[in-house]
Amino acid sequence: MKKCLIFVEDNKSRDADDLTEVVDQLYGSRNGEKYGFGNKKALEDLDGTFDALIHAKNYEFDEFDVRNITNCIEELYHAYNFDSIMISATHLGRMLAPRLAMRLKTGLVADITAVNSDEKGIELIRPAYSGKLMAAIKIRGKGPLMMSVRQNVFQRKTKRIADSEWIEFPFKMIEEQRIELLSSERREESEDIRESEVLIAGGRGASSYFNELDALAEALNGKVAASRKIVDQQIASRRIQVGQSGKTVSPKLYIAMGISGSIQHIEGLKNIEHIIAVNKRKGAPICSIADIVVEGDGKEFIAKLLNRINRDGQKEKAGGEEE
Amino acid sequence: MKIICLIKFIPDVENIQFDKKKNVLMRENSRLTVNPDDETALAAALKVKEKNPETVVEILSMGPERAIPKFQDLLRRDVDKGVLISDPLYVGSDTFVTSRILGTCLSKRMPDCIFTGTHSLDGDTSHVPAQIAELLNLSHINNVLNIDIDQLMGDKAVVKVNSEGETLEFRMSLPAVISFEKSKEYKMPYIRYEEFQRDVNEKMEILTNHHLQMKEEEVGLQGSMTEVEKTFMKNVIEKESIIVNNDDEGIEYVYKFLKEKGYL
Repeated sequence: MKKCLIFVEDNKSRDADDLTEVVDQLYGSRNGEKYGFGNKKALEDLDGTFDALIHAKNYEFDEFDVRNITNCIEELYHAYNFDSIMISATHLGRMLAPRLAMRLKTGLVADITAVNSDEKGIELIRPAYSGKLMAAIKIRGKGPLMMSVRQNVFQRKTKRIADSEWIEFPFKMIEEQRIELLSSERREESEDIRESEVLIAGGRGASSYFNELDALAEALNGKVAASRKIVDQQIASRRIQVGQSGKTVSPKLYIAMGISGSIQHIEGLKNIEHIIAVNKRKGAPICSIADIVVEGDGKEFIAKLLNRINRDGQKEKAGGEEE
Repeated sequence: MKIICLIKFIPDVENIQFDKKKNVLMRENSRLTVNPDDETALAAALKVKEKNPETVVEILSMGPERAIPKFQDLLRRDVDKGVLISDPLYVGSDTFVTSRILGTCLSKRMPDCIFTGTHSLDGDTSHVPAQIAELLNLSHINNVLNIDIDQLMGDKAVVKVNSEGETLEFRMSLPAVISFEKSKEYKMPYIRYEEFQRDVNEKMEILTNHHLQMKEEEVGLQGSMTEVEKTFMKNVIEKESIIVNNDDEGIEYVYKFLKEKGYL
């Protein structure tokens, strides 16, 4: 039996739940024992999907108090001798995982998107060089197998098990907090592109008309997303970036406007039902995975398609894209 | 206030050549550039110095000697000192080892703040800043958009952070590791004309393992905790695409498709 610890972040129980699939893929669904660690409230949603749920006795750590979370996991590691530790690659997770790996003097593989496990051992797969290629990485040394896992890539497949065992752990290493959250402000278009069933994404070819993607997104009840090229040009924020250094998305419909489709971008597309690629070059890599390729100018495409939608007596707002 | 900025020189990721036969990147001959997030971190430090001229800004990097010309270009911009760690023994070090080498160096010259980038374009693990913070027992925060220069004094820093759709403001105890993400707010100043030809050797120090005294078995590939087993191009599942033009017929096809599949 392998013991696996999954860190459960506040308000992100679903990510932790998905990581149980990584355990199953590594060790088989019967050979991996799943331990969740987090604040008690975050663990409540996971009752019945983990073997054990561990929280601190009379203590709740602050979401960004990475040092104390590291202290707690170190104590747990010494108490349970976990074979592997998995952390979702969120903003917090990507600060926590490396610190913890250094503390435990073990190797860490960042932001993995797949695993290979066979008699020869375990390989963790991640994109490298901006997703220009994939790397299979092995961990050496005696420490636990540690990884941060890209969000939205794995989905739990096993059914609920019996009730989880709840464990109240008496942590001893908690120290004075040195980072304090003063304020938080949710930005307007902050609704997550990962939640949307329709995404209209713009790439380098759309940089001159990126703002016009909004109208099409509105007509199709979707959201606007961007490739890294657009984010690097500071036309759109990294929050809506799709791809290896951005987000992994699984909408039903993905309309790629002026996106060539580097591996790094395609890496961010998972289980999409329909892809429409609008591109001046029908030979662009994205076109090979598209259901429909529209060869031509994207700005013109938006104007014409909106016109067509409006003409059909839809009562939606007029696109008004003609110039 | 002393700020040390960690700088990584990376291969030009956009134009890097790939050896399809051997399935490896040809990184030896690629052009080096400063990692964009790190450049933002240095630009932020220089902004601090512009407002508070008594600030000392140093850069620290680890890399091959062929990075020296790029390194010197940075020293031509109001940077007080630069330390480049370069030793063939360190080639092949993973993030764990790299953090230990940089941490060893930093522990001997502790500043008030360590500025770094959040991501590097080549490896994109974001491990090193957090691991250095751990080694030096410091607080650390990623994805910093802005540092409040007026409040940067004594033993506290206030930073604004981009966190998954929210802007969070933190106060941290110093010393700390503060990791920036590329932003419009901090731009690298240009090199002044009279600085172009200036000899900056006196500002530069090159350190080898002779100075840092790490054990040979703890550095390079030997000391690494991770090993790249293989690299490969990803196979993409191709679809049978319908290709249409951007004309009435094509638009009608797309429109019908959207309607049929229930998107309209």
